Amino acid sequence: MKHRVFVAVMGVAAASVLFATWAAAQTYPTKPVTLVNPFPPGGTLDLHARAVATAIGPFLGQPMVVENKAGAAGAAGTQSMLAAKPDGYTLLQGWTGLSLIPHVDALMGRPQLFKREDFIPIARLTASPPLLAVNAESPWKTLADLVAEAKRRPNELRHSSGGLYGISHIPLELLKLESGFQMRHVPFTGGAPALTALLGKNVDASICYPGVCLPQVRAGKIRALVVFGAARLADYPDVPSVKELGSTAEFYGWMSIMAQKGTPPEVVTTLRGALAKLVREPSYKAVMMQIGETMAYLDGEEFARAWDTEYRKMEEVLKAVVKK
Amino acid sequence: MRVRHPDLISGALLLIFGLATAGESLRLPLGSLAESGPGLYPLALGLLLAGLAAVLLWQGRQGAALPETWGGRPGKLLHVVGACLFLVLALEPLGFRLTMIAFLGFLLGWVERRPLWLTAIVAVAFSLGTFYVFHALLLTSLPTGPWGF
Amino acid sequence: MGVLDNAWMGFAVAVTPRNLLYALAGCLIGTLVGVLPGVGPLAGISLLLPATFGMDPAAAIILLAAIYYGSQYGGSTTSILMNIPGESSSVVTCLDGYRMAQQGRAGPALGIAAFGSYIAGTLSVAGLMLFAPLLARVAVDFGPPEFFALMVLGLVLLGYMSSGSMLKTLMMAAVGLILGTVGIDPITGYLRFTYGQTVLADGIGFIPVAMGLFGVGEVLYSLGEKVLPAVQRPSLRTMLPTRQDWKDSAGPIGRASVIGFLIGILPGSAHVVSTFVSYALERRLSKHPERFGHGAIEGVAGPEAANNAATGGAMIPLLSVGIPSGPAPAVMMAALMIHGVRPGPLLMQENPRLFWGVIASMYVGNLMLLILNLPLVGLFVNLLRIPYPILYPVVLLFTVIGSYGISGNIGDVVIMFVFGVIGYLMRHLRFDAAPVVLALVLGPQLENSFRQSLLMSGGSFAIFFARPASAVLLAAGVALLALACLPPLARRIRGRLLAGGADGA
Repeated sequence: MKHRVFVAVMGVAAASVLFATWAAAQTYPTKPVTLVNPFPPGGTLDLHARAVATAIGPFLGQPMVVENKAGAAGAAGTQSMLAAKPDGYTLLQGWTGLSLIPHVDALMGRPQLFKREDFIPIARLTASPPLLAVNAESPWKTLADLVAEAKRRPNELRHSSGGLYGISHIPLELLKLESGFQMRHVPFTGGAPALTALLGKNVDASICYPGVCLPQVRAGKIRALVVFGAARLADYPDVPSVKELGSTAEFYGWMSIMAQKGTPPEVVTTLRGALAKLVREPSYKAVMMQIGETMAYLDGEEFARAWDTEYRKMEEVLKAVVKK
Repeated sequence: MRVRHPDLISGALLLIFGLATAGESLRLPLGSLAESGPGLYPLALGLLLAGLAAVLLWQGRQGAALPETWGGRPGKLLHVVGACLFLVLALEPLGFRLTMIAFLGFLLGWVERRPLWLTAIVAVAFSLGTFYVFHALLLTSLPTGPWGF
Repeated sequence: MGVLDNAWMGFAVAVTPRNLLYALAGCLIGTLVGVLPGVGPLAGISLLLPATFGMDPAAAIILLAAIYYGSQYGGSTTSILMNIPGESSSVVTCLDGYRMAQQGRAGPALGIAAFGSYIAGTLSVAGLMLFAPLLARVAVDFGPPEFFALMVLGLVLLGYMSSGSMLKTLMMAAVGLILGTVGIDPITGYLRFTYGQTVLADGIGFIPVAMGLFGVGEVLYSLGEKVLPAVQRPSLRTMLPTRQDWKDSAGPIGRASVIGFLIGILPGSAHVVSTFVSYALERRLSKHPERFGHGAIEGVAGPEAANNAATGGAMIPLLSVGIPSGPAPAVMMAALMIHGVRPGPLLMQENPRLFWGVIASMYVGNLMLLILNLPLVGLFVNLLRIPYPILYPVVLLFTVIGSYGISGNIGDVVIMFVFGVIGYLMRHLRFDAAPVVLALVLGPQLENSFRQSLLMSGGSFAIFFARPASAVLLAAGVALLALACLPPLARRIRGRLLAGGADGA
């Protein structure tokens, strides 16, 4: 009698386990997914995250919710996302800073808050090359003009950025390393003050992203000298690309979706599929155009390879740039 | 308890704080005046504070004692501080609502000796009410405990 | 198109039933987030951002802007009733506002705050209409040297604000400046004084410190006293400002509107400076300066008007230049971009309906807020009927929500309680809390502007004097400092001379 009860209980237990496994694997996602945006609301990354979250619902079968967790130039939100369970329900709105922050930490002798290996890249969605801008009243009409002036007066010209070792600082450092000129860097806290400094002629040059610069360029307040991409941008037909000018200083401010290392492969596959459909969705593409971001979809594995290359390149660049 | 020379106490504390700040700043790169490192400005501030504190110590020698007595009711104060300590320790493990019910209940019921019905109503209403308004409506982050509560 | 034509067009946009409704909704939400401690306009605006995606762009900005300036009305409530400043621009209101509440004059304080806010808000919108393009240039030309000079002036004015010892005020300011250095140094990337705690990487926040020193500290101090704060029984008569109150407040409100508006154009911490410029000015101009700090209505009217005027000024960089002057305007800018409206210098020409419509709606919104807030005064004043033993645990509850809600980190709550104990000690040792939090807010901008200026000039200090604006501001700061220090020095010298003469004779 006891034996039969025992078998029955084991049978029920086994069936429950099988059912649970089937249920879990079958139906990710079964509840809303959180997309962590490590920046305050209102920025380009925030708008992108919201656009993704709004449009991806039908493709994922569950709503996606954006959570803002700002702090430490994006590091705080990233850390908190990595601390969550790798079950595909907490994702990160990734940006190029992920290739920069770990190296800066290492070079400044402090523990790395996160590394490339902590992430599984799901897909890259956009990659916008920034522009090098000068005040419209300044005499330099081409990049060559500016570089010549900088070489003539080493360390006298100044450029502003929205943050030390950030995505509006590094592109100009790439040019410096390549052409061998020197310019003083004046760091500000955020893109808005950096742009204001350029508008007010408090600095001579600045790096600016296409969506943000456009109104100022169209109003004739600033002039873009070069775009850090392989081709010209549609909104800036007169601005040459670095490739045209024979430079290798390409840089992209990309936006991607990341999951934690250890996320189950089925979940990753589901997400990749949903994102592949998202990038063809007209409403999402329309929003990207509104905010001036360039679509540059790369699926998981391709993106992982591209990111690895960039990650290693940035390590070398930062070694030359970071002052101890 | 009558405090005789309050300015001497505060002067001494602030002198220590200023010197400590200056000392810690020396461990950071100072840079030059033109390209100042992270340590230069805090060093200057620490020294400034220490200087001002020294002046206060000098003045405090002749200062008047505090007229009022200190700690009219130390017992209650300690209870409240203890409750706050509990709050900080329990907030994340137990979640906002449970911790707050305990916190408010303790303060109202035990420390302030209010009637049970009042304590219960205020503690529960405010804990649950503010959680709903802030967490559900305004999406402010408030901790939820182990049972999602 | 003349200004009057533009205004007409603007009102035509603002006064449509739908836009009026959005303005009202924004005012309601703004007042709510302003009153609730720890929840600021940014939270309200970001919450509604997704909802605005489907709306007409003008309507979206009308709604979000109403939340922004509406929250400034509510911010004074917690300052006056509970001595808890919700935002840095409400700190100065605590000084005299809370004293007034303790004297049974919470009603007049709240009422004058509401009216002053309305008048200043309306005047600043007028300024926005008339002077936007002109002032936009100022916003852009104001660079690091000017910011540094302004911060120096602000710190000197801090000394003018206290009725106690100047030495103690300066020491508290120094403490606040030191606290402001904690965290990552934006110029060199080094972490300062964080000792491995990630909660400190972005610095010690204003909210935990303010809630700790003002809110928790006040509670602990009151509990330690022999007599608890008395219950109040406000009657209708005591709730309204007296004729004398109105007379006393008129001047401060007028002056503060101008000051607040001009300073509000500048981004960042500058807004808080407008509140203490106003307070210090009123104290200097008053025939009875000793009343300040003990419940002078001018000490509420001026700063509250200034911070409302500043939000009007803050719209100028956004609407005329396309650069947001703070996190809340940044979200408004995002709302515009999502709708395909590119905020920039051409906004006024390309989108006149939106530009003037938003401005006109601000007039309407300010009026709505006044009508909304006045009855609320009655409601809030009655909160003071609650016996203190029941009130203070609830106050502590709100401070916890305020500090935890910043970024969901228990560390902020810990910081708040630590500063609560410090605030308690400070009260007993006769130190003011206001200079600490105000210096905490100004400190980072002071240091960054200084170092940015030197990076701009290559190490030369001449930059501060070669540029007219910064030279003027610095000169003003030095002059005010001298003015404060000289009389006591002169008295001591004269005393010494007299004593010497008496001996020698």
